[in-house]
Amino acid sequence: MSYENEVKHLAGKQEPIPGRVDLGLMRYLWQAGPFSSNRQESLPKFLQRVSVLKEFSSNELRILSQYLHRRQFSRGEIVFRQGDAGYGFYFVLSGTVTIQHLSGREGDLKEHILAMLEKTQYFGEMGLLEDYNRRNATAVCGESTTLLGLFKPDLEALLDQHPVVGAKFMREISLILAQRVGALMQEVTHLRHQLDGGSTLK
Amino acid sequence: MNQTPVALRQQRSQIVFFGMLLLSGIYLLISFPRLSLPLASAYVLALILKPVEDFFWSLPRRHRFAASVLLATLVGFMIWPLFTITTTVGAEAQDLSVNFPRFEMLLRQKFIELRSVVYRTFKFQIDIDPVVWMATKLKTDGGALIANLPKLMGNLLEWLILTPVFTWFFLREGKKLKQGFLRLIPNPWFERSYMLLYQFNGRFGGYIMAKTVEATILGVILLLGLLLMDFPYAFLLGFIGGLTNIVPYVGPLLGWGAALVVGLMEPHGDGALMTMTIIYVIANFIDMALVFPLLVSKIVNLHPLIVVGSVIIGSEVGGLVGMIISVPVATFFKLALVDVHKSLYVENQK
Repeated sequence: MSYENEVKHLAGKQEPIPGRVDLGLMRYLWQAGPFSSNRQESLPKFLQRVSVLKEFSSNELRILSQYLHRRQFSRGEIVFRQGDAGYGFYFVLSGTVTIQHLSGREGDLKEHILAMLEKTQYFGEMGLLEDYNRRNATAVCGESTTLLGLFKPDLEALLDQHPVVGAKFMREISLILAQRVGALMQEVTHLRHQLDGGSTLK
Repeated sequence: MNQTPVALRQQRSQIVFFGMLLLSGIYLLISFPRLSLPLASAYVLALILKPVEDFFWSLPRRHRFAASVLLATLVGFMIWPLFTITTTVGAEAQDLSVNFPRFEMLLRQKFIELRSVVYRTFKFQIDIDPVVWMATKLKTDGGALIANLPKLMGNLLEWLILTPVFTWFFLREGKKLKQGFLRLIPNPWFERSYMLLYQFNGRFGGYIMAKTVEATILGVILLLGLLLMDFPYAFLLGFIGGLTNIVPYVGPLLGWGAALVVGLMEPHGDGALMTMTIIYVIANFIDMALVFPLLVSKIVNLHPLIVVGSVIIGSEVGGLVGMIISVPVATFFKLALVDVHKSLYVENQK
């Protein structure tokens, strides 16, 4: 008996009508199963948890994940040094990364820890935008770390082959930069207030 | 900021492993030209076909089907004249080989005239007979060629079969192959090597495309000019002219040399050789003044002096093949040098 005839038959008898098979739900349950996940699928899933990519759909994340490079670093290994040429942007897939900055006069250089990055956090966005970027800080892996890198050639390929995803990614990068500039302005204002206060006291 | 000894040791191992792998790969490619030649030609073909493939994949499915039909029709229209020209070129080449004894006789006659002029003027007897020298050379080299012909034909057939297979493989699996290779690059070198390879690939692909277009334009100009003056073997000479143009600077001379031989073999009225030379000069002038600066030069972005220098070095190191690959190799070195220069000077100025 076809589904329609069965529904008619059951409706005539005033019996409860069985629900249709929800393919989307079935697919979700199948993919969410502990035995169905593999390395390829885990990347978009990981990207879903990255705050900066929250506006991306599952399909867009799947496309983006095809352009990412998985790089393995050991404990204490340097990802890049302050002053190095930079061409890439990284997401922390596992492990931790410390961002350090060296400042001061030659011979009296001091190391400042700027940030401790963990899983789903990101760094190095300027490397994607500037024509010849010089890294502003050093990135060191705190433990055995896996990073997902997106480099200039990948961004160009992404913009070329999937312009919508590429443009969306560029918008997110602009937002990160806007946030960084905002934070910097706040810090500058705070320092100026401190300086003004200091001069008034004198 | 120094790395931990463990990280340093791991990095060193990665560098040693990658270096050894790279050297063994280069050694294998140099040692087995039967493998490296189809690989190289497939790589070049894949670079040429990549934009077409990208364009197809960027289309929606129904558009892709329509575009496939359109492309097949276009390729058919392109292949048909190409097939006709190939048949004509083949027939002309066969005809030329039949007429070669006439050239030998003409050369001998010219030589006898020259010898008597030299003797009358300087009382000096020229002992070397160029015809005998040429015949001996042809016999020895030709004999070796005939002896090696089955092997050569086998290699050619192998190359013809392997190149499309490898090209398909490069187009289909190119991304995976590239990712596999990139995964092997040690972490400290990764970003720079990737960027350098990307820039070189772009320039190399552009160079191949530009040279193909340049050779076609030159070949067509020569063909039309030679056809207009009813010069013998116009199709063959146009084809040779376009083909030899791949070799920078020396190529046009080689093409003209072939036309000169044909002109001497088949005298074609007064001033035919001069007219033919003028056609070659005009074609090469158009190439040097318009096609090369607008197409090739902009893509490779090399100073003409560097191009000349690299061609000379290429000919010294690798003969004809060295001359052909000299410009892409020079492009690679320029990109690497610019990168090193930027890291040494631009970084410090910032």
